[in-house]
Amino acid sequence: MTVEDIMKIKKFSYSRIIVKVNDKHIEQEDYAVTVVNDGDDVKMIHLLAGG
Amino acid sequence: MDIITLKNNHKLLKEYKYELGKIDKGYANRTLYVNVSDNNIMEKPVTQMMKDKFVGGKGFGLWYLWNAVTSETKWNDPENEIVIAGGPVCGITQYAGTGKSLVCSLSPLTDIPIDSNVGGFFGPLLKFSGFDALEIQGKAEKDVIVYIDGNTGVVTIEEAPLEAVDGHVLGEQLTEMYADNEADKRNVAVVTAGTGAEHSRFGLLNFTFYDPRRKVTRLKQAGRGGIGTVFRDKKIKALIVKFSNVKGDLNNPFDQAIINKTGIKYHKEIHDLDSKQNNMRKIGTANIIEVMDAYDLLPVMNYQYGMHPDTQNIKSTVFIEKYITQGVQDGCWYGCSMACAKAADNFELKTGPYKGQKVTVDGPEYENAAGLGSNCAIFDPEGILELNFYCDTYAIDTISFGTATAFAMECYERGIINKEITGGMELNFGNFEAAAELLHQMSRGEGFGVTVGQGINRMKKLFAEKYGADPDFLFDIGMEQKGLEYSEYGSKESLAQQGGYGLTNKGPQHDEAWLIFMDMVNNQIPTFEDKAEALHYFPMFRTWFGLYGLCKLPWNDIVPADNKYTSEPAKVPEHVQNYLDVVYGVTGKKLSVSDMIKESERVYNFQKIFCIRMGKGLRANDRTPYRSMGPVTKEEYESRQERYDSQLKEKVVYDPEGKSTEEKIAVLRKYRENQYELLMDAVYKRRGWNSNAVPKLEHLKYLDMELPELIEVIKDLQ
Ligand code: SF4
Repeated sequence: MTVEDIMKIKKFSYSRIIVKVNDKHIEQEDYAVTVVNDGDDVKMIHLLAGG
Repeated sequence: MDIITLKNNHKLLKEYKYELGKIDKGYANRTLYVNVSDNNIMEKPVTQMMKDKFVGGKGFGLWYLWNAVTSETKWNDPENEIVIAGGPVCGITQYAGTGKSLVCSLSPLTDIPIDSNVGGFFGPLLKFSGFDALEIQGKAEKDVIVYIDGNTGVVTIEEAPLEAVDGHVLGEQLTEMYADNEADKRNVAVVTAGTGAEHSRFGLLNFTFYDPRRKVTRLKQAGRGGIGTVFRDKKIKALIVKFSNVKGDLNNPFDQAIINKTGIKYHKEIHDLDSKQNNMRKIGTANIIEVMDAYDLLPVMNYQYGMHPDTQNIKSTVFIEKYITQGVQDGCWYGCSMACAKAADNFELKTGPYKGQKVTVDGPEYENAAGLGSNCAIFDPEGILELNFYCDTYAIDTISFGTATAFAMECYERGIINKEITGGMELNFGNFEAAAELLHQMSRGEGFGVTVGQGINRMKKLFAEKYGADPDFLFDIGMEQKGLEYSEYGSKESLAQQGGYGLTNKGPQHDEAWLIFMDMVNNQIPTFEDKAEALHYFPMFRTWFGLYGLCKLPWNDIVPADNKYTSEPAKVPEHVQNYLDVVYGVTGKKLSVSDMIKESERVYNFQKIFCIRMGKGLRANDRTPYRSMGPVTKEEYESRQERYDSQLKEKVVYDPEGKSTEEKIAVLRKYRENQYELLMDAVYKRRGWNSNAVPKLEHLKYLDMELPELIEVIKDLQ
């Protein structure tokens, strides 16, 4: 499963999300090619928004 | 009626001449006091104590208001004031978002101080005319205007009987009246209310700026808390300031070069990144309509739900493609490259007294689209624009109107009120005509519109006492706290945001803290201590904008490309440093982040004690309606049954199997209400307050705020 797949499943559509896999930043253009394995530490940090 | 006739009918009540001054490092060092009861006008010096403890803007506003009123003063007593103040940074033109004013008054909705942050040119031009703040007190006998001529040093109070009251007409009339020619219109700024402010408690103030490309007077709103209602109760029709020759260095800053450097860096960021991030320059804050829907946070049908299939009809791209004029520099003060003050031009109105006219609608901002749209189930972009226009010109707060109308609609659908009570109106969700008619009734001062205009707090009492409604149920679904209507985000799934709304000074407005993503989506603040830290830092940090005359949006509605590599991306550290650099550039004050937080804390705790002095501000006042915390009704629970059932299993350790929805609602409620109590304890502790939400004396000492008048209010509550 890729980062992009996870984002689709989780319905993460916000434009400013910081993605880290095992503490390594993943750039947006690499979401589709970055494979996530079982046990990987995946963080998808949505930056503050609103008003 | 032509402008000359309008002007010829003015009757001069008072003329006051003053020496033009020079601003020194962001301060004019004096303020202007105007009393419309006895027409007294005077200047007051800004003291070092005021600068040290209150900084400017909201700090000055609250300090003057405190001195003007007693614990007995009501919003409609002549003693109540409206104070408008920029702040030391207000008026610079090199950084984005530097033209804001803060307006303070005792609120007709909450009976405690309210503060509202607003753009437009009035604040900066007031300062360039020689004043860090304008204090208005008293009540006039007949409609008056107050005119400040910052070019010649003259202030007048004049009766103005013939001008319109509605904001979009009055703004145009007075801009034309006081400008020498078309080019001069940019030098005139007007503050108005509107007819709706005369008959509701949530009247707002419109602050103008002239838009030379569109050739219209644009309106920005000091929306929250009913300050427009106070304005019309004082029989003030408008405030006008005129100042020509705006230049970038009028604040006589300490170090212009550092301001320029910081500004250039920021503008480049906007230029390079806005289209990849929030698209503020195309659509403004409305960019998040569909985002909130996708995360189940958009208020739908009085906050019952968080998303709706019809949101696609009002998503931001619909407004961008069909209504909002693109390619125009929409900054509400010079130099704002974020330029989010969007507008729909040539919009033809379908209802009301201006039906058939083509107008410029300022907006829609996110709050308008959500409050007037999804929360009332009006998924119609033209309906939203029309309601937005009439709210502005009638001077009705879109947020309070949207939330109060959504409440009335739910009461109607549940049979709590009926057609007899609404005067024949079918107040179902989605009924645009009914919502528009409520607004027109507020403007005319008649019908059920006047009832809705009293706000949810008073509607709840009326529906219970007069129509036999269950007060507990109304408390659960009436989205107000301290008398103020909630702004437009669903907070059920974020405990931190329940606190972000509930643990505020003025009432549930998100300008103190918006923590939903940090809490609910990212799980970055899992413990009570983490949440309390966020509910300390962000409200204090965001209070600071209002002390200096700054707009919050340029802080985090765009972030530097490398922000993600910083240790605390949510705080946008580079932008925080920009602000410290800009403040140093203007005032010469070298602040650290902790100094910044301390400056805010002084004013925040002052406002807190002000609320206590006025009879609120304690733990009991932080209680929130259950709909802000969880599902009130069967339909709400069942619409997200999987989510709630699994929470019962995992968090409450309760097996939902075989239980009725009512039983499950009750167990979940007990759990969530208890969580909120624990949150209150943690937040109060972090803020230096006792368990009754009262600042501790030692905390005042730490803040260097041991003013005798503050100690007097809280000493017996320790
Ligand atoms: S970001 Fe928007 S609201 Fe803020 S100052 Fe700029 S144009 Fe005005």
